[in-house]
Amino acid sequence: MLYQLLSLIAFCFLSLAAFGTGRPLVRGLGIEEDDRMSVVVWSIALGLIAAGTLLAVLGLVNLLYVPLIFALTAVGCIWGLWEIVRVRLFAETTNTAADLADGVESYLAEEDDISDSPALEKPPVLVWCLMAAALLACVGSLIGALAPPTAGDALCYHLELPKAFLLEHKLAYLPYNDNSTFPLLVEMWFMWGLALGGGVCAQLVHWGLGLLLAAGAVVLAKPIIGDRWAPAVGAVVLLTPGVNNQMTAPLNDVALAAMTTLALAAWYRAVVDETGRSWLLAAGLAGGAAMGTKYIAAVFAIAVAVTWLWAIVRHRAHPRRRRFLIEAVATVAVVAASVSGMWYVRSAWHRGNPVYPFLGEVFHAGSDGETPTKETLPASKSRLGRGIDGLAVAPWQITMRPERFGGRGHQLGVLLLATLPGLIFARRLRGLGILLVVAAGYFFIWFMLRQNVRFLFPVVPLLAVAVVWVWMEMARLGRWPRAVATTVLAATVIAMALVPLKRSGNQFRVALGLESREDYLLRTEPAYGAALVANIMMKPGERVLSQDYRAFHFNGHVVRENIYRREEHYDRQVTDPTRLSDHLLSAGFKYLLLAETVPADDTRFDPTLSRMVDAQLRGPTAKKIKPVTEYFTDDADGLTRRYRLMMLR
Amino acid sequence: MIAPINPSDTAEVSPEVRRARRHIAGAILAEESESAAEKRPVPAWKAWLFAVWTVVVVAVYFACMAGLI
Repeated sequence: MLYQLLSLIAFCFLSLAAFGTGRPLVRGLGIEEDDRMSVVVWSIALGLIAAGTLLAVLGLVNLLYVPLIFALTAVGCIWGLWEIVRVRLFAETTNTAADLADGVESYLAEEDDISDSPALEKPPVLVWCLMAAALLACVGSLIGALAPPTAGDALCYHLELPKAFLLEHKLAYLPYNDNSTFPLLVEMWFMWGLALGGGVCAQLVHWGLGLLLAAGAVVLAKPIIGDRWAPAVGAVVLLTPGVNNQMTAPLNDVALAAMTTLALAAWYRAVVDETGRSWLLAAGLAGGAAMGTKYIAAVFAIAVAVTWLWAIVRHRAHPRRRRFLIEAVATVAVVAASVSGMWYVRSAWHRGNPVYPFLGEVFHAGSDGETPTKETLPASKSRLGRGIDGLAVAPWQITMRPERFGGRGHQLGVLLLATLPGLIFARRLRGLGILLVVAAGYFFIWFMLRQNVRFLFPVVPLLAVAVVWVWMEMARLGRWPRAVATTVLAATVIAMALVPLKRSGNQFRVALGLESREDYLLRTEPAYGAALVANIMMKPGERVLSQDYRAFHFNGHVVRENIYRREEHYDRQVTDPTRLSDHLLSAGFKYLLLAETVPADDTRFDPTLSRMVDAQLRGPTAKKIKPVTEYFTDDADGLTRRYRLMMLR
Repeated sequence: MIAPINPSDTAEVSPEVRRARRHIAGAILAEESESAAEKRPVPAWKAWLFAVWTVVVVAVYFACMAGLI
């Protein structure tokens, strides 16, 4: 329980430091809105962007030391506390001054205005119910997030890279990790969490980003559907199964969606509502953060650009408006490039390709100079093909068969497909059309590129606005059809709220501290047994060559065997099987982690290294490879895995 | 030269008068039409089409998730 509390406290300090960093930026940019929620959302978002960028810069100048990160966090926390105290003091003095200066009459007149304002009307009961359901779902995902990380991609690179950077005290180039030159802004936030409170704290960062996504959706929705119903949009986002599920693991799709949503919210305020050009800077910062999170943010930018082009065409008779639109996009692009550019330059510097390993056909012919490293648009990623018929059935297919498009864990749920056709009876709403055009454009490009449902998270908040508008318009349905639709949708919402709670059953004991983290990992993480042994034996600087990509729980450096083989062709260089250990020792490896499936007909792990090790173990130099530990473990999908940790000598 | 019109001194208008003005304006201007639009019922066929759609989609979805289809 103590560890859980420490992780939660570290997460709270991180959030407070982000707020403290971002609050002056919000004030400086002049994007303070009347409602406190918007200010908090923008403060935390801009604070995270600034802190992540600062950590990246520290990494570039070899200053990634935990004590320094602690010190900077402390400064941010103190500033955050000061901002909170200052707001209270400021509010009190303002009220007193207003009372003294304006007199009782003007004060009463102002009261009269405020009481009439629809902004202060309380949300309808339905919205409260939705928020309660979202709260339940968030409790479920919080339980999951409080368990030690076991998600494959997280252990492979989302957490493994920050761990490696902290070990090296710099933003090291790791040639045998394809992901090490991706845009890594979110990984900087995970590194912050790792430094303050370990893997669970880093995981909580992504859970918090889910809340930020929901709050960002509310901020986006407010000028379109009003303050009373906007919280329902956040609730719909949190009730989306894929979003809620990903909040339990340190991945980056939820973070991407949070940043694209905020970028669009700022863009809307600047270009549609025309509430000030400062919002363009906010849009650029959030857009840059999205581009610094994942390449697919570019697709969102293209979708927004379509609406921008349409606006330019519409305003061809208004030169001043057209000029403003062109200046707006130039401002956003320059700011976004300033925030995210370093990741693309870094990739180009190390790999010769700013978007490595994609577009290898254009930038880089691969290590052997003959074939691209990775096909950018493989047919295997387009299960529906790229024709009009596939596009037509795509919404149905990704809802009913999400396992074909990246897995049920990332699915969008049924609320969108069940509700959005209701737009046929809903009245037109100012601003909603823009969101739908952006969502449609994004969906089309997604369909043409990579059909994975988690890549659709950026359009969830946009479609959630439409969902809530349809629900508002359902008041105009006849009594019985309304009753039928409401009953079905209410049952769906309840199910969506309860599923995360049920899913977290496996993590409930460890989240409450009733089971130790070590026992939990031994039970759920197949490579953890080997990591435990290796962590006892390994000396600083020693490296593991691993057939399994789940590397995070090893305290030292782990190199993925399949990438090392692809880059160095060691299997071709070792022509004498008895010389394998000498070759790998001279390459800097002290340990080998062999992973195989039983029976061995599954292709999950390439057996090259296992076969070569077994060949040496049968020969006269067998004593040069010492088995350290060996065990079998059963996968969730019924496969049995065999793990062997070997020491080279 | 056109003489500027002096702005009215709103500070002298009491809250009661302002509320009454708002009521009158609301009665004369677009308030009613907006309200009427909000209350205009959706044609029955569209309403039932939507209701049936939600039932079918949600039923198929849960059947798929339960492995029944």
